Amino acid sequence: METYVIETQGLTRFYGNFKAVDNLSLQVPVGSIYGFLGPNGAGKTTTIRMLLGLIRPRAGDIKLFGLPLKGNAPTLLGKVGSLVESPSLYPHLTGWENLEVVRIMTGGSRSEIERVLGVVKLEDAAHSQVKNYSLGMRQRLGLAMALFGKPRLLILDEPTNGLDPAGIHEMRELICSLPQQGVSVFLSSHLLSEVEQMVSHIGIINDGQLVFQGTPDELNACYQDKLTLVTDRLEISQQLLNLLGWRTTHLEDHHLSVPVNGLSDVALINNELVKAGHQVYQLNLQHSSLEDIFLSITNQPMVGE
Amino acid sequence: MRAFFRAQTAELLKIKRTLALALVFLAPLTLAFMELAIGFQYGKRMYRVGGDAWMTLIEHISMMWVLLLLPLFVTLEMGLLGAVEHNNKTWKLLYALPLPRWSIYAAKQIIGMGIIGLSMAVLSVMTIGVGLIGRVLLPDLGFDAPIPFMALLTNICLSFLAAWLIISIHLWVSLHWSNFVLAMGVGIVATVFGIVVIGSEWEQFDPWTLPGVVSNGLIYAEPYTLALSIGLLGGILAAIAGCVEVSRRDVLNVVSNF
Repeated sequence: METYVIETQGLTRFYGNFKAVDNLSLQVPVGSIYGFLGPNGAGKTTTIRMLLGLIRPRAGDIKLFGLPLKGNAPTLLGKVGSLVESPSLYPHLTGWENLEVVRIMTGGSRSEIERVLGVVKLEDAAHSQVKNYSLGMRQRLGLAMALFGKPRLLILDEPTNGLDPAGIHEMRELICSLPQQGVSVFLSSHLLSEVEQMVSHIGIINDGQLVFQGTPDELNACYQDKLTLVTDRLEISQQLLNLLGWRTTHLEDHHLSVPVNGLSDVALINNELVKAGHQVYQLNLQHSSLEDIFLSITNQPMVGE
Repeated sequence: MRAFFRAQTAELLKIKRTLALALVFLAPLTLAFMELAIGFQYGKRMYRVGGDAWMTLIEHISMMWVLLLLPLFVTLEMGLLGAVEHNNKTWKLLYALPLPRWSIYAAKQIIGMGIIGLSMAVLSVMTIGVGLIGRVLLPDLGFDAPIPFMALLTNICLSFLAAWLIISIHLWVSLHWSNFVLAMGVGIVATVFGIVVIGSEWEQFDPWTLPGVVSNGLIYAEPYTLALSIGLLGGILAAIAGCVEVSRRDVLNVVSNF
């Protein structure tokens, strides 16, 4: 059995002279919930369109379920459900009829329509026209269409867009339950906080390039905690710490900043300073959240700065 | 082939409750009402005493429908077939389904031809209806002569076949560009241009005049084979070209006019 549901190599796409996706190599493990993150305009939707065969890459290869997409598109896409940007719905048809369109085109049974309507809790509204649906209901119907036929891979582009908090919560629960049913999920978002609790893997894209790929723990490990301290003789304290091998920065507001690994390092530094006769007035350990890391990787101003 | 039948069945479902379907009946109905009004208002002037009332009626229908309304109607219907996908951004759904793209395009082509064909069948029935109403209410116009089924059927069928080229062209325009106004504009300009061209030596080569040339040819016993062949074969070739082109295209479907 293949290891990756999605594997791309050197994927590149231009719009005119603009390089939207640049040499992207993704590896999405089977059974994972893969959060594909990046600020708006980073190339997320372009990548997803290429994964679904909607647009062609300028260069690079895409493999789905271990097979190249090129030449196998109908077979492979039969195992993929997708919801890209806003849901694609026919407003003059009912929810049921929209699913019927998908059923006719993909084959499958009417009981599958019942099943997916049940999954997204739209049974009651199934026979009213989609133009009367709320935004949340449309999103859920879009998801039902993506889930139709029990796909093995679900590709969702900003799935919580336009949903209210309750809707977002429901969507999260639903997505989290999918890997147990053998479905791998690839979902994009511009907010790490939105997907942080769901994802098992993270890929971060910025300006079309993949800047990180791994688990949330690995992302966390990339970034050390930061200790800021204040002593009576800051300059001499800095020299001492540098001598002992710490990387210190003298902040403008008469603080020293030192990257550390956990509380034991804090105790160690405090000990050294006190031993050398410094008065330590303040020690403050700052733990960066995944969101901070994400923002610093993608060069966006951190919240509160 | 199974893919094509699937796409075709889905098209039939999608057309439910649409304006495109309603117009199939409304457009011929409007024309029939117009012809009735003409009959009541100017009956004696438009229908010569002692002339062939049925043929005059067919001639009127041919003039108004085949030459003027048909190109506009084709423009509008094909525009609506495209708009149902563009407006709802459903291309990204359709093309991410496990069906070859040509099958989706071909299904649209067939439904487009079906819509125009059906509307022309409705028009035939309504033409007979108008004549029969005339037979009862306007007895001095000469509608008591036998109904020329054959002439009517030939005229409608052959001008429909000659319209295949404009059906293919307008479907392609409407599916290729998401701009409805552009699709309408092309049709309106081409129709007006066609009215200028008809009667000239170029009429056999302007796609928008072909149905008119065929219809006129039948009524006035003039040659129409070339026009019919260009319309029919050109339509098939243009449809095949559309199927090929759609398979090579990128589906961007971003919010833009083009």
